[in-house]
Amino acid sequence: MKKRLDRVVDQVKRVVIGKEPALRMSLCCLIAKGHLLIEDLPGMGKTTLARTLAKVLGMDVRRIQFTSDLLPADILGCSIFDKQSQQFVFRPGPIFGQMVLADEINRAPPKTQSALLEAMEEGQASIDGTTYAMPHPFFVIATQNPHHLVGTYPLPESQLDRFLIRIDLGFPDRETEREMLTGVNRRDLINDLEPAMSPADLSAMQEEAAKVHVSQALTNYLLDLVNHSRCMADGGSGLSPRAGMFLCRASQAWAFMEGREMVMPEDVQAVFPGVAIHRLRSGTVASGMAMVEQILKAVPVP
Amino acid sequence: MPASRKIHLRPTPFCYVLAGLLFAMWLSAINWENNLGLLVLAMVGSVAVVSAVHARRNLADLEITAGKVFPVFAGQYASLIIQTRNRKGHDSYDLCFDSPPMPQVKIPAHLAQLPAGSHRSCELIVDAHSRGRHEVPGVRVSTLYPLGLFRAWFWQPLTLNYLVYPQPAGSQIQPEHFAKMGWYSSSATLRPGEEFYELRPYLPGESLHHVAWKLVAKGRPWLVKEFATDGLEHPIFDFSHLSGEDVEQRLSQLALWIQESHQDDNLYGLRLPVIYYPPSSGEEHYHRCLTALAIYETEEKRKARKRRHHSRSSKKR
Amino acid sequence: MKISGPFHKPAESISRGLVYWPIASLAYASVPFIFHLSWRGSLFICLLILWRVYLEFRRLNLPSSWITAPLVIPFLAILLAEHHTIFGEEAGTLFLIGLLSIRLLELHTVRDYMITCITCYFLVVVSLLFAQGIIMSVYLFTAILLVTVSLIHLHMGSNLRASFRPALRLGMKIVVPALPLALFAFVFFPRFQGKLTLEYHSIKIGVQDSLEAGNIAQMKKDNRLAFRVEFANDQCPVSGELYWRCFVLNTTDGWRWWNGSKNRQMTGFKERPGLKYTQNITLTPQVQRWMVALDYPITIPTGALMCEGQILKNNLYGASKRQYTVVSQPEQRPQDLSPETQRRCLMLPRTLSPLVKRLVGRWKTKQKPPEALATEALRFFRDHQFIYTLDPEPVEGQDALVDFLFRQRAGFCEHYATAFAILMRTAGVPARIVTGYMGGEYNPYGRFYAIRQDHAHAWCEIWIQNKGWVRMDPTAVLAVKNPTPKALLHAAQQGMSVEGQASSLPSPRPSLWRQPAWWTKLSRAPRLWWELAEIQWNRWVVGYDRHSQEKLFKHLGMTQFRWLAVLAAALGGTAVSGALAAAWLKRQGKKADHLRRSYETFCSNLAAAGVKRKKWEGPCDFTRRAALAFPLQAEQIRRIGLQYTRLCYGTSPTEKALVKELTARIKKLGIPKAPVN
Repeated sequence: MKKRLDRVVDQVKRVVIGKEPALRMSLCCLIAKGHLLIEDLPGMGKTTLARTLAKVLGMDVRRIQFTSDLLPADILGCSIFDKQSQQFVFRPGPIFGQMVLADEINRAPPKTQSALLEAMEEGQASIDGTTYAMPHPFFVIATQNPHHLVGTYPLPESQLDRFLIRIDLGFPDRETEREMLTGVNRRDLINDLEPAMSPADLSAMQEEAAKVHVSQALTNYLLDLVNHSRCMADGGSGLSPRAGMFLCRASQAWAFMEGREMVMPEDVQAVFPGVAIHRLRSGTVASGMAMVEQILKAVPVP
Repeated sequence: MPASRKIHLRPTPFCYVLAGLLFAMWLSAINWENNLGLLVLAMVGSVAVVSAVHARRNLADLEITAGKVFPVFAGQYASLIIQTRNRKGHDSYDLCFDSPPMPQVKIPAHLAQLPAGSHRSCELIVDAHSRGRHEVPGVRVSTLYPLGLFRAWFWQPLTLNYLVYPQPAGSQIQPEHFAKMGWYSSSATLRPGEEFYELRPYLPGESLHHVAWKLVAKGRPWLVKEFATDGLEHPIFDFSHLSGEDVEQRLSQLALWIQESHQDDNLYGLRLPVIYYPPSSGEEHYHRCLTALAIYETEEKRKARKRRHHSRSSKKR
Repeated sequence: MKISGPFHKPAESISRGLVYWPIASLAYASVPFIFHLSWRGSLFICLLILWRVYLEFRRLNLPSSWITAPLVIPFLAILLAEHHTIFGEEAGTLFLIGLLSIRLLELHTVRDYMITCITCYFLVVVSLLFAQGIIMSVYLFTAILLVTVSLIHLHMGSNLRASFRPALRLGMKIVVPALPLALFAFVFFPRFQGKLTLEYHSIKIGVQDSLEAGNIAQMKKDNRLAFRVEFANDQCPVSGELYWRCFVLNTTDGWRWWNGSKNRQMTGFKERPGLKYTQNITLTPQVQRWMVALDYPITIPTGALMCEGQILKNNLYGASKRQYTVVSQPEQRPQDLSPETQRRCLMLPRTLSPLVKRLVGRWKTKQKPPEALATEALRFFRDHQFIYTLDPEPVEGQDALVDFLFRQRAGFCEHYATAFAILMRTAGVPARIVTGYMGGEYNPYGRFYAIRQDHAHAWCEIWIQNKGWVRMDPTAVLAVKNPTPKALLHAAQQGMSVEGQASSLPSPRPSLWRQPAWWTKLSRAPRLWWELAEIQWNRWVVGYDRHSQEKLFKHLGMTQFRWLAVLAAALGGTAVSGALAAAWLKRQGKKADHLRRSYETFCSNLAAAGVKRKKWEGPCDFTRRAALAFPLQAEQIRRIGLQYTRLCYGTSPTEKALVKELTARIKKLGIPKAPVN
C-alpha cells in the first residue's frame, strides 16, 4: 500500500514541483474521506495540483469555475422537459463526479456555495424533491482566494467546518520556479500522466486507514488538544466535536500513509494545522497558524 | 499549589444514620457478648473510614482553571466554564462544582467522571438577573464518591468574571432619522449611495446630477434626491435622547435596538454620556456596545455618586 | 467569605437500571433471615422484589404510596401469625426486611437508595445474632462487599456496563484494607462489661430447667452445636460414660418435672484418688445461663455456683461464662439427701393409677433392696418389648403413664426416665431426673468432643443408702424395634442395644442408616477438619471476649489493665493502620502508571545528558532526536522508543512483562554519554 502511495506521490511530483508537504496533506485528506480546501493567491498552482491528483488517481474530474453569477442549478443540475418522452428528465450537473474541483469557491454567492457544501456533507443532493446520491469516491477539492481580495464572498465558519483539511501552497522557491519556467508546460505534463491507482484501490485504502488503532492515551491527547482550543482566550468558540472527529480520522490516515498500525502523537501533530487553522476563528492564516502552534505547544504529549 | 490545598471532610446525613444504627448494634453486641458482631461492626465502620480516605483521594491533584465565559443578557442564564484537569494516576468521579458565596449559582456543575490525566470542562449555570460585570470568587469542588457517607470538598479561588448585558426591552420606535437631529456632519461628506432616501431642497452650487427633474417638470421647486449610503444615515442610539427617568429602562431600550439592528445587519452607533461609538456593524461592535451598556453606572455607583453630589451641595450650603 | 454553604440535597432521581443494585443488596443481605421466615413471608418478599424488577425492566411507572402502603397489612398478618409479635430480634428484623421490600417499590431517589444500602449494612450486622459460623461470616463479608459496590455504583456515574469492573475493583480496594483495620479494632478496642435488660426471645440452645413431654424430642431435631469439651492430658472416659449433667429435677405433678427445692449452694469437693477428668468446656454463644459438667463435678469454676444435685449454675449477677474449666470425678456421687429433698424425691403424682401401684407391688413383695428393684424395673422395660422411637403416639391426659407402660410401650429418653422415676418412687426409692447431654462426637484433629443439641438426654438417679445417688439410665437397656433411621441413630448414640444386643461401647457416631460405608469414610476427614476449623473460629473469633482481651494484654506485657491506656493505644493503632492503608492505596495508584513512570525516567535520564524532551514532543520525534545526539547508544534509544510507543499507543494491551522489560532496558541505558569529539 505504502509503495503504491509513494508511486502516486512520485507521479504528482513530476508535475507539481516543490510542494510535497501540501501534496501529502491532500492525499491524507483523500484517504480520510474528507474534502480539501486549498487557499492561496491566484496562480500558485492550486488547480494544477488538483488536476494532477485526479489524473494520477484515475478518477473522473469535473471542474466547476465559481463565478459571482453561478446558480445552484449550474452545479447540481436541473430537470428539463423532454419533448419526446413528455417528461421531465434530470440532467445531472458537474457535481456528480468522483472528483469535483471547485475553483475559487468564494467568488460565488453564498447560496451557490451552500448547494455545493450540502452535497459534500450529505453525500447526496436534493433537486426538485428527488434525492440523488453522489458517486462513491466523492472528493471535493475547493480552491479559495484569500479573503482580502476584491469580489469574494468569504465562506462562513459553518461551511468551512465541512472541509477536513485546508492547505496553502505558498510561493515556490527560486530553483523550483526556475524549473517551472524552463521546463515543459505543466498542463501538457498532466496529459502525459498515467493513473497510478484506481478508485477501487482508493476505497480499499480508505477502509484500511479507518482501521488504524487509536489508543486510549492518544484519544486523551486528541481530547486535550480540542479542549484546549476551546478555552483559549482568543480562539473563538474553539474546535467543534466534528473537528475532533475529523482530526482523529485525518491522524489515522496520516499514520496509514506512514505505514504504521497505530496513531502516534506525531501523526496528530502533523495533521493538526491542516485540520485546525480554518476552524479557529481568526483573521488571517498567519494568526491561525500561531494559534495552532500555541495549542500544540501547550498540550503535553502523554 | 494542589499540595497545600486543604481538603475538608464532612460526614453526610447518611453517615449519621449509619453511625446511629451501628451504635445500636454495638450496644446489643455488648449486651449479648456477641464478639463476632463486634468484628463485623468494626468491619462496617472500617469500610466507612476507608471510604473517607478514598473521598479525599478522589479530590487530590485536581487542577481547576477558569474557562471562557460568554456574556448574556439579564434574565438569561450565564454559563461559567470551569476546566478541571486530573493529574493523578487514577480516575476521579462525581465531582460537583458550586460556589456558596454566590447565591446566583442556579445549577451546580457536575462531572460524572474525569479519567486519569485528562481534562474536562463543565459549566456552572448562573442566574444573570442584573446587568454589570459580576465576579465569582471561586468554586467549591466537592464529591460524595465513593460511598456517599462522606463529602470531601475544597475551595478553589478563581477569578471568574462574567458580563451581563441589560435585558433588551422597551417599546419605543427605533430612531431612523437622527440625521435630522444633527448628529451627522454636513452633507458635503455625502457619498453617492444606492438607496433612495429623501428629497431635500436644492442648495445652489450643488451638482445637478441628483436634482429631481421629474418633479421640476411638474412645477415643483428644485429638490435634490438624496441617497442613503453606508456609514452615514444610520442611527445613533443616544442615551440622552430617550425619554423616561429610569436609567435601567433606557439602557434596556438601547440594548433592544442594538440587538434588533445587529440581527438585521444594519449599521448603528451608540452614544452614552460617557462614551461614543460611531456607527458600525459586526460582532465586535455589537459586543462593544452592549458591554458599554452593561458596565454603565451600576446601581451602587449611581448611589455613591448621588451621595457624593449631595454631600458636596450640602457643603456648599 | 462564607465558603461552606449547604450542599445540594440528594432528592434527585437515580438513573434507570441503577435500582437493581439496592435490590440485589437487600435480597442478598436478607438471605440469612429467610430461614427464620415461613414460606409465606419469603414468597411475599420475593414477589415484591420481582415486582420491582419487572417494573424496572419494562420501564413502567412506580406505584404510588396508596398502593404500596396497604401492602404492610398482609405482611404484618403473616408475621403475627408466626411470631405473635413484631418486636424482638427475629420478628423485628423480619418486619424491617418486609418494610424495606415494600419501600423498594417506590425507590427512585438517591436518598431511598442510600437508606436502603445503609440498612443493608445494618442487616448484615443483625444477622450475626442468629448465626455465627464461618460460612456465615464469609457470606456476610461478601454481603458487605456487595453493598459497598452498590453504593459505589450510585456515585460512579451513569454508564452501568462500563462501571461494573471499576466499581468492583474499588469495592475491593475499600473492603480489603478495611479488613485489617477492623481486625485491629476488634482485637484492641476495649470491651465493656455490659448487661442491658435485653433478652433473647427465641432460638435458644440448651436444655431447659424443666421437663415436659416433647421437650427433648424438639431438641433431638436440632443438630446445632451446644458446647465443646477438651480434656486435659487427654484423659477422657469411654463414650458410654459421657453423661453431661445440666439440671436435676426432683418435683413433678405427673406431667411436668422441675426443681422444686431452693437452690442450696454447695462448696466444692476435695479430690479423691481415682479417675479424674479435667474438662475445658466452651459453650456456644447462644447458650444462656446454664453450665454443663461431666458426672460428677467437684470444682466450681469462677463465676459459677454449685447447686444441689452437684450441678453448676451461672452466677446470675456476673456475665455468663462461655469458657470454663471444671474437674469431675465419676466416683464422687452426690451424697446429700436432706429431708426436704427426700420428701420431694418420693412425691408421687396425685393421680397415680392403681395399675402402676399393682405393678410395683409385685416387685416389692419380695422386700428387695433398691438396686434389685431398679433391676426389676429395667427388666420390665426390656422384656416387654418397649421400643425406642422419637415419634411416639402422643400420650395424653392423666393416664399418660399407664398408657405408656401398658399399651404403647414406645417412646424415648424422657418417657423412660419419667416412667422409671415414678416406678422407683412408687416402690419407695427416692428418685430424680437429671437432664443434660449424653455422648459426644470426638474430633481427633482438635482433640475435643463436640456435643450437639441432638445429644440431649434425660436419665434418672436413685438414692441408695451408703452409695448416694446412683445413675440409672433406663433408655440404655432398650431394644430398638422397627427402627426409623433417626431413632436408630439416637439409640446408637446413647449407647443402647440395638435389636436386643447389648452394646457397651458405641462408636462416637455410627454409620448412618442410608449412607454407604465408603461415603462415611470419605466424608469423615473433611468433616472433622471442618469441626476443627470451627472450634478454632469459635475460640479465636467468636470467643474473643473481654477476658481474652485482658489475657492478651497481660501477655503483651501490659500487666495492669488500664482502660484509658488501651483506648489510647486503640486509637493510635487505628490512626497508624489508617495511614498505612492510605499509603498502600497511594502506591496502588502509582503502580497503575508504571509505563509512564519508566518513560519519565528515560526522559529525565536523557535530559540529564543534555537532550531535554519538550512537553509536547511525541515519543518518535524525541527518540529520533536523542538517537542523533547519542550515536553510540542510538540503537538502544531507538528500541526503547519503539517499545514505548508500541505499549502506549499500540493495539496490544499493556502487559506487565513487557513494561518490566522496558523498565529494565531503560535502567540499563542509564544516562547516555555524549560522544567525545
